Order: sequence, then C-alpha cells, then structure tokens
Amino acid sequence: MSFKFELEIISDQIVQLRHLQNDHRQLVRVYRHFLSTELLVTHWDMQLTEGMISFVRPDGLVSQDVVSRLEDQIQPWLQELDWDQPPEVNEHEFEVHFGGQSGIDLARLAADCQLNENDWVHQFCSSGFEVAFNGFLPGFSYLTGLPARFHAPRLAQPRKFVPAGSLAIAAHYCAIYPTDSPGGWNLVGRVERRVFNAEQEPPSLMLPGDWVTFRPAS
Amino acid sequence: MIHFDQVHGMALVVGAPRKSCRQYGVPVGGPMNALSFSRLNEALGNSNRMAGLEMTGRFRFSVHKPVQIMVGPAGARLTIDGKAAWAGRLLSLQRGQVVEVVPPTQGLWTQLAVRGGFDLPRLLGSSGTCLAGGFGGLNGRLIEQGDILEVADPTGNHEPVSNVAMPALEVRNNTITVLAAKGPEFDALFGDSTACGAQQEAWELSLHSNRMGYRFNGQGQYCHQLPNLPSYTCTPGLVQIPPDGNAIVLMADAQVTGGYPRAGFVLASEIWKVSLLSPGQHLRFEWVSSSNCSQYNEKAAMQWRRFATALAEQRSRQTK
Repeated sequence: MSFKFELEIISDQIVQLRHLQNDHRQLVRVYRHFLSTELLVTHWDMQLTEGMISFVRPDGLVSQDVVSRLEDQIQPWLQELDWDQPPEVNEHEFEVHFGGQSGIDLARLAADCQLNENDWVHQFCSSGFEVAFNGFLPGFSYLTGLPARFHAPRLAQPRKFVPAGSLAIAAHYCAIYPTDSPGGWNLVGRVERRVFNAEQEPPSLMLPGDWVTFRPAS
Repeated sequence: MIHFDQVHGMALVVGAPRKSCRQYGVPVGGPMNALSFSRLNEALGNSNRMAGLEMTGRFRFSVHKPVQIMVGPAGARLTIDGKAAWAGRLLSLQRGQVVEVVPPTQGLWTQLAVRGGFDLPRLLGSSGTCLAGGFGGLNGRLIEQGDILEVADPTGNHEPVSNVAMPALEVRNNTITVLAAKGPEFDALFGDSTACGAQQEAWELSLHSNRMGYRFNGQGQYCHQLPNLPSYTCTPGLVQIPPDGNAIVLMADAQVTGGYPRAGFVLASEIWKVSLLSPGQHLRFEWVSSSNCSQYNEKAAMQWRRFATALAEQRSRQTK
C-alpha cells in the first residue's frame, strides 16, 4: 500500500500533511500510527482534521529545512505501518434518551424524512458511526456514518444554550456535546455518559478511527 | 494566600499553554499577553509552568499570608493600600495589605505573577484555566468574589529580581502593526495585487471580542461569498475573514478547528501585541510570505535568551 502525501507550509506554526488519494480512513490509520511513535515528543503537536494531519510548532520555527526533516522522520514510520494489520481502535456504545425534552429537534427531523419518530430512531440506531476527528470543544468528536437521508443543515441561528450530553446532527456529522455550550446543531437526544474528563488519559473518550453505536435507553 | 474581596470584570488563573492536547479538542490556552507573563515568571525566579492571573476590569484582593508578586504589562495600574505601585517591580506584600487592580493604560489585560505560582493541580500539563472544557485553574471557571488562591512554597526557586523591563508598544495614530504570514486563502480574499487594500487596511477592534478571538470591523470592504472550508487546524494568531468581512484574530483560548477562509496568521512572536489593543484602536497587518517567516520568531527567541541571560546576571549581582 503506498500512502502518497504532500507536506505544505501553512504558517510559521503549521505544516499540513495532505493525503493525495484523499481517503480519510487511510489518513486516520496513519494518524493513529504516528501517535504511537515518538514523532511528537520534541517539537510537534499533531492534529487530525477534515482530510489532513497538521503538525504544529507553537514556537513558530516552521521553515523549509524543518519540513524536510519532518518528511525524513515520517517516511520510515510510514514504511513500518502494517496495512494488513487491523488498527487498534475502541468501540463505544451509547444509551440515548431520544426526542421530547432530550432531543427537541427530533420531531422536525423525522417529519423532514417522512418518518415517525420511532422509525427514525430505529433507523438511526442501525447505523454504525466512526470518529472522524475531534475539535470545536474539548471532547467534541465528529462522527461520520450518518445515512444521507438523515443529513440536516445547521440551524440558521445557533442556540445560546445546548445542554451537556446532547446528541446532535449537522450536515453529515453527528456528535455529543461534552459540556453546556452555545450550538447550532440539531438536537435529537441526550446521553448520560461522560465523553471528556481532563483527569483521565486520554481525556477524550473517543479518538479518530473509533467505532460508535447508539441504542435507545430502556 | 490572597482573597478576592471584589471582582468587577473577568479574572482567571493562567498557566503554561497546553501542548499535545489539540487532538482532544482542547485549546492551547495560556495568557493573552504571553510575553508579559513569561517575563514576570522569569523575573520572580519561577518556572514558566507556574500559574498566575490575567484579568480585565477592576479587582480588589487582600493578602492573608505574605506573597511576592509582579504585574505587567508596562501600562498595568495597581495600588497597594491605596498607594500606586509599578509594573515590573517586585512587590512584597504583607498580611493585611489590600491590592486594587484597575484597567491598564494600554489594552485590556493585566498579568499578575506570584513567586512560587498558585498552588493548583496540573491538568493536561498545565494549571491554567480551560473555560471551554470547564477544567483547570480554579475549578475551570472565572474568579469570583470570595475566592481564595493559595501560593505554592517558593523555596528552592531562583531568587526574584527587584525590577524588570515590561514589554510596551508604541501606538501611532491609534494603530498597532503586526507581522502576519499570508494564509492559503489570502489571494482568494484580497486578490494578489500589491496595491490591494489589504496591505493598507487598518482594522478596528470591536467590543465583540473575547479570549477566544478578537473581532475587527472591516467596514464592509471584505464581504465575500467564499464557502466554508473543510475543518482545518486553528492556532492563536490565525486571521479569519467570515462572509460579513469582519476579521477575527484567534487568541489564547481559540477553538482548535475552524472553517472560515484564512487571510493569514499573526506570527507567533507578535501575538502579544494584539493583546495590547483597546476597542476602537486599529490593527494593521504587515504581510510576509509563510515559507520564509520563521526568521522573525527566531529573532524573538534570541531576544528572549538575551533577556534571560541579563536577568541571571542581575540576579547574581543582587545576591553579592
């Protein structure tokens, strides 16, 4: 398997790795592998986002030389990656209180799909989700795998308050709000399980590549 | 140990920026004026990980156990028992003394470092506050009236110096200029003409600003229809132009991902200057190429090393 990539200087702090074949799953694979190496130990802070891995140096010393050295470091670790070995990821299942006061947008979303709420929930819970990346808030994990008919645009005006634990949908992503926050996503339910704890290692429950499923709370 | 008698504004515990945590969605954090805070810690003989305070507004605190503090930036204003005290001076406070901090003469933020640092647990590598995550600092929140902060034992640290130069900035025509690297969407936003308005534009700091980002009025000149981008990595210093044309410069508590077009990035060693703006004042960007801009940060790193060396010499002269 050849992983073709390009390193680009974005700023004095950021070098961006772009996967030329634009396969997010392969990118996650590479990212998880890099996490297990010493790539980060000295200068770099690594972050996976939508379609790229960023290497960040807060000291702002990114230069062509530095990029060349980073590339020299990356190549052997890429060679080492066993593509046949399945990645070591975690699986998470969340119990969800769907609809009503726990998910105030569910009724509208179900109506938009011409489904009753129970069928909407049943179909939603039959889907498997994957963690694409973390961002926006500590412990906010963007999950892909939402079937196309469930996609829903963000609210035109964000709400000033979304309660912690809210399961929400925007565009093709769903996510769980880790804390009370303003937010413009569509709220479909509430989970009780904590998804972020600064006292744990890692502090975020969900990491890129992890599998996620949902089931209605009994 | 200090006790907050009165809190009118926003004050929070700040510590070292968090490293290797953006992958969890955790902002880098740290003070808005990192240069000022670093100098204060260095002057007090602290490690650069020790926690202090940053505040905007009016505050009164009383001293319950003796502490040594130092405040910045250069324009910081405070009184001790009603008498004016200076930024950059070692202030040895005794039990019963009362300190009042009011807005500085330049910018919004006052930094206060304490010898030994505040005695608070480290979470994810720092004892600073992460408001977005509700952790770190004092229970992950802003300081409130009645709060008490304990100071860690400074024994074994370097000796503090009696005074140190605090960073100041000359402001001409109410405008601060900062170096910024052109970003991936610079040309799409402004066109690549060297005479384009973006080179001369002075952006006015809006009141709709906070620790996550400073908003600037663009007078409607840069309204655009460019779509949002796939989520990219944000760092403090990033200059975003949303569709309404009002620039946002991300600051210490910025979210780690974003989607607005990127005009560019204020260089890492220049971000502290942005923190010295007051609403109504203007920011100008001096644009440089992203592939060749580390030299400016290298120069700043060298200036820091010279500062630290001079401080060490000052320290050894003091103890003789």
